[in-house]
Amino acid sequence: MMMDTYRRIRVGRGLTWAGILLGAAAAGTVGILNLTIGDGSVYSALAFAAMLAIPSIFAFISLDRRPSLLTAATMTAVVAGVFLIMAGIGFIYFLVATLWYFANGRRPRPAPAPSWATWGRPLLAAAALVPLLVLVAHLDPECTVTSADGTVTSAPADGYPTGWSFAFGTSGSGHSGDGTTTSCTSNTIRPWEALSSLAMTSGLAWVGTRWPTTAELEPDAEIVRSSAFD
Amino acid sequence: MTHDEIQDLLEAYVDDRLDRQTRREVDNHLKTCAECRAILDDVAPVDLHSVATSGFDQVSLRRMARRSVMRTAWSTVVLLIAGFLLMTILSALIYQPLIVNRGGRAADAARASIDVVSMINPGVMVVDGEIQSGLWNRTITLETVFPVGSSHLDLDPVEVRLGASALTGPGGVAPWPYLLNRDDVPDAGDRLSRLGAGTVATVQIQYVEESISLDQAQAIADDTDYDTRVVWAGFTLLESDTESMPIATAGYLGYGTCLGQEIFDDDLLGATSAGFGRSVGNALASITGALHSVVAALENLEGHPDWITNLTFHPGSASDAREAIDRLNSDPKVRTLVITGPSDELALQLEEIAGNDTTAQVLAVDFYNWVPGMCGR
Repeated sequence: MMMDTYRRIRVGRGLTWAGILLGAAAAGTVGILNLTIGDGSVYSALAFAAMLAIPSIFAFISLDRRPSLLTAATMTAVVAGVFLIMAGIGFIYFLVATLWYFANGRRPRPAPAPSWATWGRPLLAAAALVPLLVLVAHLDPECTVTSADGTVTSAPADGYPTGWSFAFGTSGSGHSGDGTTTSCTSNTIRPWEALSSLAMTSGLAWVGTRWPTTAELEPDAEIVRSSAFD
Repeated sequence: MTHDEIQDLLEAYVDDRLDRQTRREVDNHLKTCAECRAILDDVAPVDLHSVATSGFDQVSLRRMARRSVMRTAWSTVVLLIAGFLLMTILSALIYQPLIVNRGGRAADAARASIDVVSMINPGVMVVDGEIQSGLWNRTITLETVFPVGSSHLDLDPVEVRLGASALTGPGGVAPWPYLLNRDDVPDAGDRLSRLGAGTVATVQIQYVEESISLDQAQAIADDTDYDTRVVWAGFTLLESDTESMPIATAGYLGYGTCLGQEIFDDDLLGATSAGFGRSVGNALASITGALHSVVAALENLEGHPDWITNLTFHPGSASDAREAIDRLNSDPKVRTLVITGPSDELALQLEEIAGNDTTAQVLAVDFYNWVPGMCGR
């Protein structure tokens, strides 16, 4: 049975909302996992969560007269999915992207978009990688030694490189017979890196809110021309 | 809002031109107004407005066709760029780990880790191992026990994590050598391009109860048919403070020969202390640094003395190294890391030296390649 236009629009918006909530939940989950399993700091957990919430933020903004931004959100979700593919949770972002793809397909007409949207949307999606790169831009190796009585001390991370270099952390940990536990990581995320990443994420969200609304877009030239005939 | 007013807004409703409040009002009206929904069906499905009123004249049709072609071209360009970006990301996160895994390198890394544990904690046995993909990396988990008489003492698992990717430059070398590939280090491509086809060399990280003397190892090398280079990097095991759990700090000392010729000077291969603690975890970190030192040593053998300073290790003097070699030859507590040339046969001979000692392990690690003659200067 053919779905009427009203229903198509409603289903499209429903799919958009489903993707927004799913993407936000996945971002929150990654943040919590980073804080617990990944031994990350609160700063890094917030930075990761915010960074991965960008697709949902774009999609949410798109609901207010910025339908063409939903395509950018879809692209960003694909980028997030690729980034997280090793972690398994990446499939959720592919699912989110698929939901938004179908949401776009539910539109009875192509979404009005600014003329520069063709390159602006992929550019925006690619820019979503910037907060990630900021997070890992500086190698900060760190070792901690936890003695049997629970005392935690830091130890020099000899052998690990430091400085400006894009690299994800490599770490080792182990336990000695006397109850001492030592953990080393080649790249801890410092607060300044996390805060910089958060600032970048906020900047991207701001760019999203600056995306032109349909009310601001120039009417289609053909429509203007046809109006002259009316 | 009246029924008529709503109808005037349907076009804007379809095009998402309504603010939240107005849209909500139209939505609420459409829920109950079948007439408006029918009008919406007429308005929405295809935007024929412009086409119908343009009269299908030649000019407008040509313009529309041109626009369509331009849009298709743009889409293609954008798709190509997006594809390139996607492939770059895929390369970093998926392709590279596949490369790491090629030829069982992850498994080799696991085996090397086992060996490292054995080397640092003499007598410890690895009874199980597992490689898992974690949130950001792959984790090798080793279950270890320490034999005590006819029983054994369970030790906590040892974890070694392999990063998801390692994009490094002159300021930082990949912290785990198994992640090294030609893009990770400067000049790597040049160095690898000098490799002859089929000259897959192996590095044997060997743990033997009785250490092999340099003379013995060199004799083995001389007996092979290969132009073999032998590099020794000794791990001195310091005294432990308990009888039952000999935990040691690893100290790295070096010495090298090439094609039977001793290559041995201050900037060739230094002594470095990569150990900084007393636990297995520290030792694992140490061994990572130590393996870096081995890389540095190999690089120096190729005529890159600056690598030691680049890697921020501490070069030692020749006399230090000679003293260390003497200790290697005489101190039964010394375990020796033997790195050899392209020599499965040599590994077998080393195994023969290990004899029937059940604690001895000889592990082949696909770690670095080189060709005969590369080490000469």
